Amino acid sequence: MAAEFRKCPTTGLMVHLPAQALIKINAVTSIVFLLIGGILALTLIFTRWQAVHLLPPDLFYRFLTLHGIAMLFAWIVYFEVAVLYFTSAVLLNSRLAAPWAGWLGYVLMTVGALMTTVAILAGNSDVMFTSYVPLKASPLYYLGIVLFAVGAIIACVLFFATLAVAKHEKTYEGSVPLVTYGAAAAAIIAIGTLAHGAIFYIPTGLWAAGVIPMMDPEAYRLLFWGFGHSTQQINVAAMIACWYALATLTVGAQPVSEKFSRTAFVLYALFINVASEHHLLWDPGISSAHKMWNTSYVLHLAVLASMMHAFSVPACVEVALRKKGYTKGLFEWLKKAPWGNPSFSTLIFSVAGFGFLGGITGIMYGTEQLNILGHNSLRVPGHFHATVVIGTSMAFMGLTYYVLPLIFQREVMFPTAAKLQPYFYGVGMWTVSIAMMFVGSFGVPRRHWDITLADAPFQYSFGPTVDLGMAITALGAVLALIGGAMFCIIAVATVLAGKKVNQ
Amino acid sequence: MSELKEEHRPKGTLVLVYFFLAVMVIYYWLSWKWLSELWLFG
Repeated sequence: MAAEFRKCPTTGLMVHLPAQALIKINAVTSIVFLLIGGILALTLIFTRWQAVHLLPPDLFYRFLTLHGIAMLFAWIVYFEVAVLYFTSAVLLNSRLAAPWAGWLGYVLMTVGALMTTVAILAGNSDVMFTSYVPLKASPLYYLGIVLFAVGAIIACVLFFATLAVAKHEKTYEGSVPLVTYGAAAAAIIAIGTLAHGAIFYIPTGLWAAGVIPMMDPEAYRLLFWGFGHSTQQINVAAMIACWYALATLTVGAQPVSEKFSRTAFVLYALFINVASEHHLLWDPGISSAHKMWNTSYVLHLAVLASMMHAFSVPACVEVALRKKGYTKGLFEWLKKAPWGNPSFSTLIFSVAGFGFLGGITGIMYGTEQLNILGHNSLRVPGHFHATVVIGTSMAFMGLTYYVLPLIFQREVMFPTAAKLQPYFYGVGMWTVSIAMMFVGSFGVPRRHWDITLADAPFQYSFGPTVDLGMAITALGAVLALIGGAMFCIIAVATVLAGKKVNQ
Repeated sequence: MSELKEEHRPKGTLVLVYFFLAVMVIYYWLSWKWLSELWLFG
C-alpha cells in the first residue's frame, strides 16, 4: 500500500498515486477544452461585431453551441472533478476509494463529450447550450451529455466514498478542512443538478429519435434550468473552495471564522439549486407568486452565502498580510500583497469580478420586475461571463499554478509570462463583460447573428454607440484570448517539458 | 475575530464591503429608475 503513496516535499501531504494520475488526466483534458472554447469565443465575438461579421449564420450557431458545451460543461466540470479528487484524497492524506471508478467516470465523460462535439460539428445540432424544445438536435447530442453527466456523478460518488474511507482509516484529525467542506457542498449540489439533467435529457433524446411524440416546452425549460443554472452553482461552490485554498497557498491565510464560512456553504447546498427560476421570469407557464417566492426569497438566501464569502475571503487575506507587518492605514496590506504571484492576482480578479460585476448584476437580473430591462439582451452574457469566466475560470487558473508543482511535480515554465497572464486575461474579460452589459442596455439581443437585421422584414439601427461597444467587446476578447493562450501554453509546456521539482 | 490584535483586524475589508454595498444600492436604484422610464412612469 505504501508504494502507492508519495510524500509531497512542499506540503508534507501523502499523495495517493492513482488519485494523482486521475487529477492529472482530468486537469489536462479540461485545459484542452478551454483552448477549443476560447478559440471559438473569438470567432463568435468577431461575428457579433458587425464591422467584421466573420462567420456565416450556420457556423455562428454551430460554434456558439460548441462554445457553450466546451466551456460550461467540459472545461469546468473536468477541472472540478480534479478538484474533488485533490480535496478528498490529497488534502485528507487518504487513498482514493476506488480508482477504477474514477477511470470509468473519466471514460464516460470523455466519450460523452466527444459524442456531443461530433453531433454539433456534423451540423445537425445547432441548438445552442440551452437546446430549448422544439429545437431538435441529433439524438447523439443528448446521449453524449447524459454519458458525460453519468461520468461526473460517478466522480461525485467517488469523492464521498473517499471522505468515508479517510474518516474510517483516520487519515486526518478533527473536521475536514474548509476547502474539502466547500468541495463537498459543490458535490452535493452536483448530484441534484446532474439528476435534473438525466430527467429531461433522456426523454428529450428519445423525442429527437422519434420514440416520444412530443416534449412540453415549459416543462423542458423548468427542468433544464434545474440543471443549467445549477451547473453554475457547482462552479460557484467549487470556485469559493478554490478561493480559500488560494488564500492559504499564496499568503498563508486562515479563515477568520470557520463556522461562518461553513454556514455559508450550507446555505448554498440548501438554497442555490432551488433558485434557478430566475431564467423563467418571463415564461407564462409559471405563476408570478411562485417566481417571486423562488427568486426574491430563496435566491436571496443563496446570495447571502455569496456575500458571507465575499467578506470572509478578503478578510482572511487581510488578516494574514497584517500579521506579516503590513498594518499601516487601511490598505497597506493590499499595496504590499504579492501581486507578482499569478495565483494571488487571479484570486483578486476572481473575487472582485464575481462580486462587483457578476454578483450585483445577478441580483438585478434575478428580480422579476427588473429582469425585463435586460431579458435576452447581451446584458445576460455580460453577467455570466463575469461569474463563470472571471470568477470560476480565473480561480481554477490560479489553482493550476499550484497544481503544476504539487501534483505534476514540475516547475512552472515561463515565470514572467505566468506573472503577466492573469492581467491579460483579467483585464480582457472585465472589458468583455462590462462592454456586453453596456450594449445590452441598449437592447442588443444575445445569440443574434446579425443585429443590423439585414434580411428581416423590418429594419432597426442600434447606432454608433453600440458599434463602439461591440468593438470594445472584441478588443477585450483579443486581450482575453492572449491571456488564455498564455495560460494554456504555460500549463502544457510545464506538463510536457517543465523541470522536475525534486531534481 | 475577537481574538485578533487591534492592528490585525480586517478594517480595510470592511471599507471594501461598504463600498460594494454602496455600488449595489446605486445600481439597484438606477435599475428601478430605468424601468420607470421604460414603462413611462417616470
